[in-house]
Amino acid sequence: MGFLSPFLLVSAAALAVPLWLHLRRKRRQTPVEFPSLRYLKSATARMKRQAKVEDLGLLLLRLLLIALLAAAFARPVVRSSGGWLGAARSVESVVVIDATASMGWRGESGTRMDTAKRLAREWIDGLDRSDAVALWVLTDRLEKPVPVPIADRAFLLKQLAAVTASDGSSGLAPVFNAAHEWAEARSIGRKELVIITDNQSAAWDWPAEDFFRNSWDRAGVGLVVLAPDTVRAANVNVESVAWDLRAVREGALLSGVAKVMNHGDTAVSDLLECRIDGKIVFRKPLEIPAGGSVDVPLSLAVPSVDGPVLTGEVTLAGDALACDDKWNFALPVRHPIQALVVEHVAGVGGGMKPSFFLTRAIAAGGAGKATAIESDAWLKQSTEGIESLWFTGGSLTNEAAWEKAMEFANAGGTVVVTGDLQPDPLPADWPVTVGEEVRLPAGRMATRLLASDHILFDGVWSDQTPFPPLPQRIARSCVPANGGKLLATLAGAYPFMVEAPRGKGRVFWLNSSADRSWGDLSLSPAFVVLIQQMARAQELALQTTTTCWVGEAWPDLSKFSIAATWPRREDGESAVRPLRSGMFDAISEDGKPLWRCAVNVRRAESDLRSVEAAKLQAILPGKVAAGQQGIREWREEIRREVPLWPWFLTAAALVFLAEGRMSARAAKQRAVAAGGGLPKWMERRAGV
Amino acid sequence: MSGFSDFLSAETMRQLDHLLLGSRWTAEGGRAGRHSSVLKGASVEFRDHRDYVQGDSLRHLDWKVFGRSERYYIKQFQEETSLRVHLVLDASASMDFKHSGKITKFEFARELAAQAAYLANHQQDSVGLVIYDDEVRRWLPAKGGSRHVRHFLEALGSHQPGGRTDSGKALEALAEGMARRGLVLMMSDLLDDPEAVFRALAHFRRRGHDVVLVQVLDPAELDLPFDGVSDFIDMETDERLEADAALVRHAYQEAIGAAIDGFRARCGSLRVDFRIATTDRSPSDFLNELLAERKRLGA
Repeated sequence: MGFLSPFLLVSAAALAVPLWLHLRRKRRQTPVEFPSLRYLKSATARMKRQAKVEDLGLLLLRLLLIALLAAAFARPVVRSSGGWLGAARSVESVVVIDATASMGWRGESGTRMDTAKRLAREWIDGLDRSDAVALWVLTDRLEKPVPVPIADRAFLLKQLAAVTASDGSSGLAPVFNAAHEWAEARSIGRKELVIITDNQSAAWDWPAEDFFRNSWDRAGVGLVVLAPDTVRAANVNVESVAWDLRAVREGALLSGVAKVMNHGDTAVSDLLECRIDGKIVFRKPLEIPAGGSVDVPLSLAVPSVDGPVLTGEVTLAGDALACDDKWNFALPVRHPIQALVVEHVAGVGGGMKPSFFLTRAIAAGGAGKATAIESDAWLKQSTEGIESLWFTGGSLTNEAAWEKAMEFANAGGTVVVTGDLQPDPLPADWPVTVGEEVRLPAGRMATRLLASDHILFDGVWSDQTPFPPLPQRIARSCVPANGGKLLATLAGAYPFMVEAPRGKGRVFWLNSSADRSWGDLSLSPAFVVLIQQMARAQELALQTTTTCWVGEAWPDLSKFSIAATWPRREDGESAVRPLRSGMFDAISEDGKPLWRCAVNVRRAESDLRSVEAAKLQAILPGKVAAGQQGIREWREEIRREVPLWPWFLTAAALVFLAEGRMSARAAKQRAVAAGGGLPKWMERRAGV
Repeated sequence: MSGFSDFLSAETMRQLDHLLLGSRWTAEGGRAGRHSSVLKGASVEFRDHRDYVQGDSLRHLDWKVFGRSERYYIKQFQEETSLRVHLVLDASASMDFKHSGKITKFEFARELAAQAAYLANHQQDSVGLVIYDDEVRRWLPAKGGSRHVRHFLEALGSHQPGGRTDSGKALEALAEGMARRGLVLMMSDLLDDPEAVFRALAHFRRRGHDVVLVQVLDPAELDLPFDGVSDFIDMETDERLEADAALVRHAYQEAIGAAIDGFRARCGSLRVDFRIATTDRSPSDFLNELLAERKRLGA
């Protein structure tokens, strides 16, 4: 038998009180000279014996009462081998299996997950048939295949067999929070929490010490944190791959850096490969120092891609933990631009058409193709295959031309107009108001982005992007109208770029070339990127994220006009997050891949070094153990630790009642012997 | 020089002057007195007639009866004599007890004895004194005269209680030595072997003594008024007994009550006048009451 609060045994010092009273009473006997003891003797012969017995009995009962209370306060427990004390309370266990990615580490006897399941099985087999067990699994979050303890072993073991190591990553905080709630629920059984985990440092990276000190009730639940083994596991992983392009196009040069880390205590040689569509495009042998990392530069030409996303992987040869030896990547593909420029040739001197610079800017760097037509031909021009439609000054000759342009925009296309292209009268849905021409200040003017997160600027433009002096000197003092939204200003005062959604497409208005048409704008190389972004605005609007971590939400597909879904779970339920690493397709209703996402395991799982057992034991209100030996030891030491204080308190209550009856009876006898009566309350207590 | 004034106040003596200490039965005094004698002879008090027999003195022939009946009858007269009063005091250590009373039991008995002696002396009777514990310590045979009274009072005043009680042994010896009938006034707490006491009393009675047994007790001996657990010490044997007085009070009262009832019954059968005197009373009051009662009974 042991005590959970042995320091409270000092309360047994109260035993001295009745002893002292008893002895003091003895000492306080008054000597009385009496003529003869003849009659006193006969009177006391019977009473004396009875009184002595009662006195001694009362003393013993009072000593026993105090001893029982003192022992109960110290919370005695006994380590029972399942005898009558242990059998008095059934056991409710929650077995938690850490199924995060790190548990997939493979040792000599299989993966740690295999070992964890064997330990869980052993624990369950060691329980009595009447004991109940729940099964919780920690992946990227806490899942509860068997949420509350049940006695159905067949179902339980079936659920246990179905547990596999996931690619998820999570700390142990959710486990203890859930266990705390479970422990607080009313129950007649003894509660035990078995957590089988590899105790990665990352798993304990939360304020566990505060939690156990302030929130965890030690008396409520027995706790053991059980490691599958005590092996000091080493691991090498591809920590990250960073590319210099956010999107690629065929033939472009793609450069990046792959970071490879060694979490072990010895240097490791490995082979790094980069594959695109299964073909090795890069290979390099590596020497990674112990506890260090190597940055490997990658460089490759983007091959022809059939689809919206370029996918590939950077891999190592592989070690005992495979899930982090591969880095999946996916980059959106930029397809060639197909643009149509409508120009009004009359009035432009020098024989240079207004579209000369604009068409070259759109097609610069092989980005695509821009075709120019006369404004007179616009109404008869087909727009099939065209993504963007550009109008130069004076090209919107009539209302029908504008209406056709709006039809194009409503169908998803992009229409770009400029400040010098101001029809008279202005169409009703023109994106800005009528603005007067104003002379701009001389010299450099800053461009301020009012919607820096706009897809147009994403990755190519920011407030810090160097901006060249504008050649133009005249602009229009327009303000956004008809749903137009100001995206950027010149010198903080003049509207520079306005976007107005129209149907599935949009209209961009640029306050440019009020006097020299598009030439001024496109002459500046700094605008070429912006112009190409506007030219592929339709494509950009349909693009979304191409990477995420296991457990993160899937990329949002709501931008796509075509309904599509990410892979479903095995049970057919729509998954809100990827559970595995790899490459996944969003499939449209007609079964075609619409988008792709590269999913990787969080690299927190790669560092397999565990928290030292002694350090963990110092903060944990339970036992830290490892392997089968650990679970057996705990079963011996804690599982059979039956609290005795309820028994002690019950015994103390019984002793208290007995003492009350005996003292009341003695008082009654004294009162009767003295010729008096007994108070009614005492009569009731004495049961008379 | 000892005198009754050493023991009695003038007021007490004045009260006693009106009392008469007598015997319920005839006495055998040594001289003429006011008490009926067992002898019949010259006296003024007619007692009976009997037939004349040869040899009778003609001085006692009743001539008036002869004149009426011509038969000879002799007149008989009751002889009156003095009373021998034997005062027997228990002077064992237990008599030295005082708790609830005003004086010790021995002091009570001594004052009672002094009053009785005064009364006897006042009536011209003889008075004797016996003081005993486990044996007779002082014995003054019953006599009269101022010299005897002085010795009596000196003996009474000088003795201090002590020793154990053995009434049987002391009184048996005493009974043998007191041949003539008289009044035996015995004062004791009777904390002794009752059988031995009553054997001795029976001896007194066989010798024709009028025995008055006064059991002198302190009220505490009847009530046991102590609180809590006490260590009772026997005053004669130094024996100790631990007892909770409250706890045993009832049983004790029953025990001593039964003992007193036994005394009373045995005394009744022996025709011994049994009285209980408690020390919270005045000895003179007790004596007044005793004599009044005895007078009512014919003493």
